[in-house]
Amino acid sequence: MTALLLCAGLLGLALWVLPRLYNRFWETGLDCKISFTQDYAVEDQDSALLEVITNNKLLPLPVLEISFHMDRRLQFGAGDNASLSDQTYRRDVFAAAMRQKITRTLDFNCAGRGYFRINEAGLTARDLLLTRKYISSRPQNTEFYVLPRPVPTGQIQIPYSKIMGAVLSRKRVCDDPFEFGGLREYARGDPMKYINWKATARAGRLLTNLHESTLSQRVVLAIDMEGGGLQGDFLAEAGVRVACSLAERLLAEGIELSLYSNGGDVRTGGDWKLEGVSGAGSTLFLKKKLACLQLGAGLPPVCDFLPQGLDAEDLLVLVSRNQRDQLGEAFSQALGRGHGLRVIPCGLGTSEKGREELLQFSNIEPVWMEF
Amino acid sequence: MKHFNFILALPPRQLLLRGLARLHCGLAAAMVFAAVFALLPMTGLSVGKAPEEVFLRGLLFAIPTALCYYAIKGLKALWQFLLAALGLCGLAWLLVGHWGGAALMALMCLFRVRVRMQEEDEGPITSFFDRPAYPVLGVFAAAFLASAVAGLNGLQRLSLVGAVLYLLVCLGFHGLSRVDHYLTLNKDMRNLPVRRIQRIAGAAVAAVVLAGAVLLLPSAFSSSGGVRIQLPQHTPPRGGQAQLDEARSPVGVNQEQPLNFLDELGGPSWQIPPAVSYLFFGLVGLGTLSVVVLGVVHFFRDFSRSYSDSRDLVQRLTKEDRDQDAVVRAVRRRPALWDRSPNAAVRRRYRRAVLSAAKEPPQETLTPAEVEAWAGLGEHRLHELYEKARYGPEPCTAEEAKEAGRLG
Repeated sequence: MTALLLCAGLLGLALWVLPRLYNRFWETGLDCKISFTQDYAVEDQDSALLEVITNNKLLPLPVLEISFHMDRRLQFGAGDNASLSDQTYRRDVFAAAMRQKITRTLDFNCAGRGYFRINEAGLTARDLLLTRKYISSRPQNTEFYVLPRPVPTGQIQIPYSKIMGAVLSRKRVCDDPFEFGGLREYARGDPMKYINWKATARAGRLLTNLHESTLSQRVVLAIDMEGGGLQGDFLAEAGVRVACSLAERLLAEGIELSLYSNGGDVRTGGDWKLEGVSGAGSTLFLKKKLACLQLGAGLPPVCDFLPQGLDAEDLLVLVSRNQRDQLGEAFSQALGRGHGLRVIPCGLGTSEKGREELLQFSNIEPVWMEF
Repeated sequence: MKHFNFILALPPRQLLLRGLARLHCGLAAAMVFAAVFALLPMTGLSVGKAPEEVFLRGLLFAIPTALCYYAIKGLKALWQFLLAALGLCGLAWLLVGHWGGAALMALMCLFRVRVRMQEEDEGPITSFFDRPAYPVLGVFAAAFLASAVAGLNGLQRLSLVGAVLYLLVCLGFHGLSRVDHYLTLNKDMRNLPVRRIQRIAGAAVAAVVLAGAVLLLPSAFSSSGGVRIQLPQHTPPRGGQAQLDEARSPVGVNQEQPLNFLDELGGPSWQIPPAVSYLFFGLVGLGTLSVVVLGVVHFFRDFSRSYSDSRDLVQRLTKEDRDQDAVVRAVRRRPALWDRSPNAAVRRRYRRAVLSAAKEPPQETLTPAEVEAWAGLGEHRLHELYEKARYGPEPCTAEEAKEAGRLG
């Protein structure tokens, strides 16, 4: 009987010690790292998130739950393990034995443009007999950009051509003697110093050098991010895509760009603007910046964000779904004596009616784009 | 047939849970029967069965219990269940070998009907019969006390063995039901590592049950059942009561007393020869040990390799990974208790100063300067001494350690 009581005491002691061991050591050697597999992706593309759990100790964790908040624009497969509100609260369960590292890859679809960041992951573990629950968190540092989807070439061609036409028509003739552009036959009035004598000797007739222009044209893009309702949000997003596609093409042409918007910057929390961007190498930077542009309701007018005293040579392009007269007036005033383009994303089949109702200004050329 | 297929389709852990739930009824009923059959002769009634036999046959009560559960779940009309209940009472009587089985089954059927009527109003209810509960150990404790008072060695041994078995059933059931509850609750979750959770938590439950069995069962089986409780002497006021006491056999309550009602029924019952018992227990012990060793080897081999499970890549941490982690921890580790060097003294002094200023430990990721800013500690010299002790190429001197002590 004494032996039985001793053995029972021993068993009781073991069952008493086990939870205390977990109380003391459950977090020791436990690490959780969440990271996106890519730095960025384009809207509608698929990407993946990596969850890496390390349990570097001898106590196994039969149940380890990892939870974190994620924007609902990143859609995980069939909404699994996620509860939706304005954000997605995601919870994943792992079972980590002693001295194990578990890597889980979660595929998701980039359903919307944006900048996404995971700052913290919650940890909930249970002891070996699932009697107790332990809660903690781990700081995370991973970010992901969903870049705007490009607008099809056929659709963007009209506004692009209009912008390029305006740019070329304003281009001041100011040749750079060091930038060789080609040869042509001499015409009366050409300066003698531009005659290419070697080519003239070979051709047997007078040929003069052509030079490229060095004076670059600057285009200022103003993006109106005022949303409102499903249709409003959709068209505002379409506006960002238009701006992105235009900017990409203009940068490829070597045109300097400045972009302004009334939407906030998600990443910095301040106003959104991007000044003096040039060169095709800046395209990714520009797209990432556009990914951070925040949509909102009740925003101040976009023209309030344009810098004062714009150069008369600059071409101003406004991208806004807003067809209100006040916006047109404000934009016309901002242009002053200059000339600008007003790109208006609108619903399918609504451009005709919009054209009739839109208040016309002499210095604004409207361009309608149906989505 | 449909219900039968449903049972077969259940996961093994749920089948095991159901089995344990039935066994709990069998064990409790067996103990009650054995206690009654052991105590009845003391009232002058003669019974023709040994308590051990009654206990073993009483375990079969688990079978009609299981059938009763499926009958109440499967039969739609009450009259159908009442007919089935009659059959179950008969079966219980046949299996257990006495009317007590039928009576207990009738009682169970009544409770089942009551629970079912409650379920119609309140939703699913887990009946007492479907869940082992630690308070039921009181039945075994009562049998133990009765045997100790009455001096019944056989009943006492049975109560101990029964209690241990019931405790093991409870441990196993509650451990497994926690795992099952968690997995059922999260069954719709994608990538839920069911197999690994079952393997780790199930192995832990099995280990607890096995440890309990290894520790308690041999002691329970080898118990002589000689514990006695001597009640205070009571002199009856009337002579009639005294005569009744004299009529009973005067058994010393503080000494072991073998049961003699079997002798009255025609001599001692046949017993298994000791050599056969030893051989049997030896083989069972050897088999159990082999299974345990193989299980442990298999368990650890599974955890020591890398494999893919669903979307998870499970890797064993290499020695390099562990060493890297150990290095990080060593850097963060406090000076050892036995370390009485000036460096350790300075570091302790610094730690005390920070904790007294901030009242709670700082984050591990902060640098000393950040810690001081966070804690509001403005002792520049202490900071210098700490940096020297912690990161400096030269160790602190004894004078510097004393200086740090004065600064605090």
